Amino acid sequence: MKRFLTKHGILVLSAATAVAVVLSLVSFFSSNTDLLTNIVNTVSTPFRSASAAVAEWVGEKLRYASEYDAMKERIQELELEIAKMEEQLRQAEADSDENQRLRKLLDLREQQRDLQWESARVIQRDASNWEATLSLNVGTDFGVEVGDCVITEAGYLVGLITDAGSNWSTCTALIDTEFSMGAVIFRTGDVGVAEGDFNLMQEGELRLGYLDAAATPQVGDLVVTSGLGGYYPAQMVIGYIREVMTDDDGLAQYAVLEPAAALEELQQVFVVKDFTVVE
Amino acid sequence: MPKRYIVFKWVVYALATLLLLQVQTWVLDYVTVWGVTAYLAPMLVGVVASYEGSLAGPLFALVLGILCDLGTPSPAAAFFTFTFTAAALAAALMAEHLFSPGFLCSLASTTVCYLITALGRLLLLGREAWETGAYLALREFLVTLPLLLVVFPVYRWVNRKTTIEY
Repeated sequence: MKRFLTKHGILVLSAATAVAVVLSLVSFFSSNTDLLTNIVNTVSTPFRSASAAVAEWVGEKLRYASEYDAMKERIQELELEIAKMEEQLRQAEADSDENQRLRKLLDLREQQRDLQWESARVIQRDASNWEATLSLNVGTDFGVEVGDCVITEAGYLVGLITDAGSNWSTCTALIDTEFSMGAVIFRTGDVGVAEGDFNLMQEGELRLGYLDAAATPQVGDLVVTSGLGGYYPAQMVIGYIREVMTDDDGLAQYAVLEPAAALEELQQVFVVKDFTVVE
Repeated sequence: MPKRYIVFKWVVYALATLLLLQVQTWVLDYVTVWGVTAYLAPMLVGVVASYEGSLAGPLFALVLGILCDLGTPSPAAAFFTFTFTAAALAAALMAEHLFSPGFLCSLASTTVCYLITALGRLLLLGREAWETGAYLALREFLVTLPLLLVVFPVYRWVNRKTTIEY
């Protein structure tokens, strides 16, 4: 054992330590993505894109064969849902007209929601089970920056860009432990922080914490981004409350959120590069 | 061993590793069993270390660790560089002193590699997540383990084809 360690072990471990120190320093002193990471990902992105395209095509064919009957049933359900939503839409249009008239009467600024986005394909899901990230095929060449929000075509929040290189970026999903964002319960206006939790991540869920003692969250409540501070757009759908819990200390409450976006099935997403929201 | 044979051997090892990592990207990332996807990297480290010993095995792990740190999300800077190298050292130590190279040796080395990688991850998690983390590590290991039946023959073939006795 001693001979083994003196022969090779110390040498190899020293090399690993030296490399680890270099990687840590490069990572620490890089304000954005470091050069080495950028090179590795820039080179591998075209290959990962090709792999993703093939895997997607095969998956699509397999799904079509196995889920044909289920899809037919789902279409019928959706047709009913659309009919209900069309009725709600007519009512919402009338409400919106009324809202505009009242805003003019009160001399308020017009509500505005303008998102500038970039379409992106998911080229890889995280290979480990310990993080929840997605690799996207757009990067700084497309104007994507660290801190940008990622949403689905329906406007549901997927996560945040945490790393970006020239032709690639990494989106940390909202269930990942690194994720944290101001949120508000749509029904009550109670403000909290939506954040990833390792225990909940295993179930594909996240936590709405730091709720006020007087907050009244209920199961099924819609939770959206608060937009406080202006870093992220407001009113983006995060998910729905599945359970209301009390912290271990018994003093504060928190809610378990089920994300609105189907994170496992995402193939295309949209990176919000810039936004203007006037409430 | 002449230099050109060493270069040839590690080029073939690199190609085999690339092929297996493609299997991860193309197939395994899309298949969830028992709530987890199989994760091959520690197994590759373990099997190569069991064949290549206490210098070449850990150096292979070092390179794979650096690539994983640079190319995939990592829980901490240089996490894979350090854990994979340490795991390969432990696996090679065990392979040199307890087993002769073969399937059993690769199985034991792989187990050690998953154990060390999981310990590294658990250390970075808060204590409240240890139970969930340990259960996740166990499921990940058990779901990946059958793939040793694929990984082991690939590296055994590479080892046999590229090792020349002098």
